[in-house]
Amino acid sequence: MTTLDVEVQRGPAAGTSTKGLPGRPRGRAVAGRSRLSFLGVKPGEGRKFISATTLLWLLAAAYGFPVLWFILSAFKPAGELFSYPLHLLPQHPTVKGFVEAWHSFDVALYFRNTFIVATAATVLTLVTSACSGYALAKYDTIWLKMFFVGMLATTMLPTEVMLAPSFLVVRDLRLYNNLAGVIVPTVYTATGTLMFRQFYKTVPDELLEAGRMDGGSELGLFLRVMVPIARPVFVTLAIFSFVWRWNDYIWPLLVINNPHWFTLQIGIESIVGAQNVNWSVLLGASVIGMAPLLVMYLVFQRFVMNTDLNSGLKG
Amino acid sequence: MRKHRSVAALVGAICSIATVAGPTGIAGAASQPQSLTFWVSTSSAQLQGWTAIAADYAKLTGTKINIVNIPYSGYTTKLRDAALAGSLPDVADVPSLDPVWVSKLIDLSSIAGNKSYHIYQSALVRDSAGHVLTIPSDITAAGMFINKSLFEKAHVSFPTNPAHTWTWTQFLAAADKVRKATGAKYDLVFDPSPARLRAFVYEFGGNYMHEGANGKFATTAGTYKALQLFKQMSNNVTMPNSVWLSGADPNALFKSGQVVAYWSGVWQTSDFAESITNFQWASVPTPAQPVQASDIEAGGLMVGFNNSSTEAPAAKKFLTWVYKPSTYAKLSSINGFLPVEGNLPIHYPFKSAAAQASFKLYKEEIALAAPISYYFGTAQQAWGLKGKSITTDPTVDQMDLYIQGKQSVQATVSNIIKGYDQQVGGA
Repeated sequence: MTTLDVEVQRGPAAGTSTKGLPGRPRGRAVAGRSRLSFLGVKPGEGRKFISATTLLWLLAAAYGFPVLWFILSAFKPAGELFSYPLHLLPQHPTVKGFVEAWHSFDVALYFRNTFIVATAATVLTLVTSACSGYALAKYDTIWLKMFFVGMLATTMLPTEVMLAPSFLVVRDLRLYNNLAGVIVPTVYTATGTLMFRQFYKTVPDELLEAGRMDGGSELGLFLRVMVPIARPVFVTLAIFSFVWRWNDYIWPLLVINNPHWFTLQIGIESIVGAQNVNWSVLLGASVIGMAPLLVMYLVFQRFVMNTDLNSGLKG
Repeated sequence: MRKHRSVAALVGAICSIATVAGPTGIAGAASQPQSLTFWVSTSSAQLQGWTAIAADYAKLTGTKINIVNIPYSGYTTKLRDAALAGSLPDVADVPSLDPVWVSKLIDLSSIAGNKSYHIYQSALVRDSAGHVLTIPSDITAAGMFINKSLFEKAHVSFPTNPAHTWTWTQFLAAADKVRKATGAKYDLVFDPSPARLRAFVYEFGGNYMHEGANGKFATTAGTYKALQLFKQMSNNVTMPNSVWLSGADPNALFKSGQVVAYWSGVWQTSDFAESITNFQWASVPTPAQPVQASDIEAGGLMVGFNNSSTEAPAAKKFLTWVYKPSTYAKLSSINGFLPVEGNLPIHYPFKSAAAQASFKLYKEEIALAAPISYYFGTAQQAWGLKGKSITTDPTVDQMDLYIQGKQSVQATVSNIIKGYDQQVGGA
């Protein structure tokens, strides 16, 4: 019997309030308390001292601190990055790393290319994922089932294994050395399709039946009823897809030869040398590279935070 | 309905842009006979040298050199895929020869054999027909760096002339003394690299792993002696185990100022000149016990691809011009290359006196290095010409098992030999 099992059976200790946490299993709360004893929290006082919000703040700090260190390090001169003792704040702040990174490759051009790739791939991914997810959830044919199995099979192969055959297909389609060659293979994702399929599975069939009885066409029902209610899935997948495509490195490198069509990650990766790394320039380039994603998150924050996969279906 | 039409139009427009956007910039580059494509994987600092000589070449001949800086990770795969797609560059500075495209290389014998170029013949390899298919862009050598400030603080001397170097025993005694006197954490950090381990073994009179006439690899007693000392040094005092066992960055550890010395190579010089500001550093002669050796390899391999009857001669003409002593001296000076040609007037651009002294020392050391120092670099080229390559060097994994006491030194050597036999062995 484990310690956790013992605590669950004992239940909450005297004086432990369960107020404010309706529905939470009692045993789990006590197990949580016992784990906090090393922080100096007396038995029975865990709930009072460590609220869920505090835990979330601790979690945010655990994730945020390395990011903060990374961003502040980008403002340190090369000689300060590894000098001992380490300092969180730059002792002699500089933007030299950013300037050198900006001149290491054509940042503006690579930005433009990455933006085209990420936007086009995201829009096309949303279209294909929504259509196929809907079909897999609401239509029942043997061909669709076979398609579903085939789609699931693609998730079982690592990307590296798919590189060579994908490359041959792209070459034979004459998409080599072309931005379309970067975009097209990324358009269909099993993850996106599954997200939509799972969502549409939760939508009652009666909704469709009612639409059909009102004389709605299949395409009309999909576009007018099913697409609007899936807005949260669209937003979630759009953000994921944009980030995936923004961070793609090896596929664009293999498919594009002309530096005029290189993407941002290729430029950033070119700073990492065979034998050593110019860290101050790499940090500057990495901060520049992640800035658009941060801006995108800030702009769409409202949608991300409000994403409720059951919206439109209550009642 | 209008809304649906506009969505469809947007998707269509994106597809069209993506499809049309690509080819316009590409077709031109490959089809213009007056331009050549040159692939290289280099830092932005070393790109300057290539850019400068490309500009000179365009001015001189009217042929534009389109330089493409390819990230190192993925370069080998990209070359393979480009060969599959029939889209290889005209000229390239590659990390190694690949059986996939080696048959497409131009013969560079006339450049390699040009007496006025003084190209080191020991760095060249000929195929069975006597062709030279690649010439190093520069050469690299393993070597030792010290934290000079710690040595001075501890009042411990160190050699500065490669002709009067120290032994590993003397070096370790000196480093130990410095560590104890200054409170540093470790005597030495050692790159987790087969090349650095090879140089270490050569200095103990070992041959590391040599391929015999029968195509089988074998070693000598000196190899065991060196590897046993390496294990003794991996005690978290002399050397931190974290570098070989868990991927700690030796470069960062040395830059922290907490380590007395760093066993690495000449490529660190330009990085240290720029990024070490909290202590003084210096290159010191490689220890000899008793063999004075290093691991000397090509920094890159220059090749020309036979893409067409128009482009192949143009590629060779450009390569001939690159190795012309005046051009090559300019390239080496700007890029901080250890040259593959002798008798060159090179003035490195470093402001750091330590960096200037480091390059001077490496040049002197290469002149004194035992011939075995060139073995692996040239052997790798020879294997590439035979269609073989070491895709996964077993050295680091096997040494990790040995350091952890999970296998004997005999088993370690035997397993490394087995890995080489499987990948590049056979007559």
